Amino acid sequence: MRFHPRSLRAIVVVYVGVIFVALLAVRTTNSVIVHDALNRAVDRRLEEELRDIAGPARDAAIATMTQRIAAKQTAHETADLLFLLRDPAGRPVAGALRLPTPPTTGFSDFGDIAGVDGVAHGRALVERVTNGASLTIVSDNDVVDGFDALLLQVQLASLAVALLVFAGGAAAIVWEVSRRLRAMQHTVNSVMAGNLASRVPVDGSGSEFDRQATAFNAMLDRIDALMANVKHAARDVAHELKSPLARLRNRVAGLERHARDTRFGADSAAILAETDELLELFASLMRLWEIEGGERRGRFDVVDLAQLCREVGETLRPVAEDRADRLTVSAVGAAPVRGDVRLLRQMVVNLVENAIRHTPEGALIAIDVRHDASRVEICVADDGPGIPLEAHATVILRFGRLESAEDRPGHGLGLTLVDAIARLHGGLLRLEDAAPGLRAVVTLPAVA
Amino acid sequence: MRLLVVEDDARAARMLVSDLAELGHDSVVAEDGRIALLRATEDPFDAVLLDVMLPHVDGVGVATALRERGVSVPIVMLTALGDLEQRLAGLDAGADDYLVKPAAPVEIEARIRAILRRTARANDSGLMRAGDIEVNEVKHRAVRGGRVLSLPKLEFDMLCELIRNKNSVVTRQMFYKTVWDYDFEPATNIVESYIRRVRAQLCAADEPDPIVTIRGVGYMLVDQG
Repeated sequence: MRFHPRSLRAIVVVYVGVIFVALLAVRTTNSVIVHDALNRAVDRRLEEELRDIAGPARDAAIATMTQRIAAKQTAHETADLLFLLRDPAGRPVAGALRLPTPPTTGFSDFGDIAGVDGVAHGRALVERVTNGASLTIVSDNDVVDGFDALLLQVQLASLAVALLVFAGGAAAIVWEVSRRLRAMQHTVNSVMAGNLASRVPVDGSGSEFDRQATAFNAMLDRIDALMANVKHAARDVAHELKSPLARLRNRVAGLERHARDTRFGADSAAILAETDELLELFASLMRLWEIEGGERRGRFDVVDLAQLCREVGETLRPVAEDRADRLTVSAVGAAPVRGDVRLLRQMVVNLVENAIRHTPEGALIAIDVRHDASRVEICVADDGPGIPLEAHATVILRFGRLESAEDRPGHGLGLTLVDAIARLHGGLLRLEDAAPGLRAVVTLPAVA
Repeated sequence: MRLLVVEDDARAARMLVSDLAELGHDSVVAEDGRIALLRATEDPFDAVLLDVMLPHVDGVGVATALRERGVSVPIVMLTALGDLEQRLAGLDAGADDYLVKPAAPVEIEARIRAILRRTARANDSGLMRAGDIEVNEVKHRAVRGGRVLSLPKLEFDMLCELIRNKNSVVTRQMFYKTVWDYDFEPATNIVESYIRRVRAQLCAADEPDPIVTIRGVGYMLVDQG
């Protein structure tokens, strides 16, 4: 399995880990080198001492060697050394060292088991000297061990400091990079929420982050300009079409009045109805543009949605009752939000009308307002045929009417308007399966 | 009625004038704000139809100037949809009502008549009468031929609107605006449902129905008396 760290934090953790391992390796190598160098110094000293006693050719007389050993044992600078001169039969001849099992010829390490008083760790050198005798010199290595321990402490302490510095630096980098990324994320979220004018903050330092932010902002500007172009084109077309359409409507209405009791009556009434529907569509579209333009944000005030839903329920109950529908409102207390009361009223009216228009007669329609400290939820549920789950996103889109609903009235902008109004207020619309029926839920931020 | 149509688009002005003529109104066209101010202060008009986007002095400016000069003629602003700021600025400047362009001539006529009635009975006691129907807006009380009608608030408001504008049309848009304060047109027949309820109360004792339906436009309460 290969490990691919993706998040910045993971990358930095791996980086700090690698640095730690590298530091550990360097320190360990240092320790080994120093330790070896010390051991070699000890070995050289043992060799020198042996030469002093046995002579360069290892041929000094036993008596001479005995004398030299005795001298060395009392000398201050060689007090840490222990000597043993044995005859060819292995019997001690000179020196204070006594060993149950003499070490082998050459250099060897010398531990507790040797049972020599005051020597926990040592180094021994054994060599054949004059006439088959053997000379053993043991050096007390406790100093070297002490030094090793001290070195270890120093190494660990510096390792810890280095690690702290690295981890701290890495954390600072992560924090700074995250901060810049968060600023960008914040802008992206804001743009997606419909606030097309928001941009990533640029501090003018010309840093990589700044260049990135500038490029990102330039992209947003471009998108904004393109969107504006499309919107203006659509708006121009709509405005250009609306006046002739309205004049057409007025003419048709006049014609319909005259034709009412003739054989053209039914047709002219149908033409008038079609024209009215077209005009209504234009009105809805322009309304949508007005809402999406965000101009209304400047007029926001505190609105009690519970009260508003009770009021809309009251208004639409006769309409529902005329169709034998049952309309219930459950909204207790106050549910204040910041918003435009007329738009919010239209939003709730659209939701309830949507339920009335897309259910067969005798439906059950429930308006439900719930709220906590942070948000207000308006829920309009019906027990009609509902909308298939996969089509939920489509019906919120502009003109996203269901294929099977072609024979029903409406031009597919009702839920789009609801969504646009919810977004303008920093909320959102979601559709759920009420099993059976549709549940439309609008969530808005509450006012404290 | 004699109307001043302030509209810089000659074609739109011509259409509007001919539509209004069909309804029996005599209109004079002013092409820009300056001419409009001149005309409106020189000649008496029954109402001014004021476009917002005008050369020289815009609609809001014209309304402001007229009110400053003490001209109290009813002003109906004609705005493009989406011009929320201008709509509100127009009302603040002293316009009496606004309509989204292009407005149907019957709607324009109904609005002007409603304004004229409103200004004519600015200081009454809330008591209004149409034939054998009598309403007291202040006391929220409606009576027909001595029989007290039981009308909930919205139905009562509708009846008041009909009586206030008796013998002229109250359009659906007007009901939505005055009774519900909706600045949009709902998709269901709210007005029809409520009119049915008002009628049921008015005619509960088999009296003749005083409300006439003007198809495609609205309703009119007829007062023969």
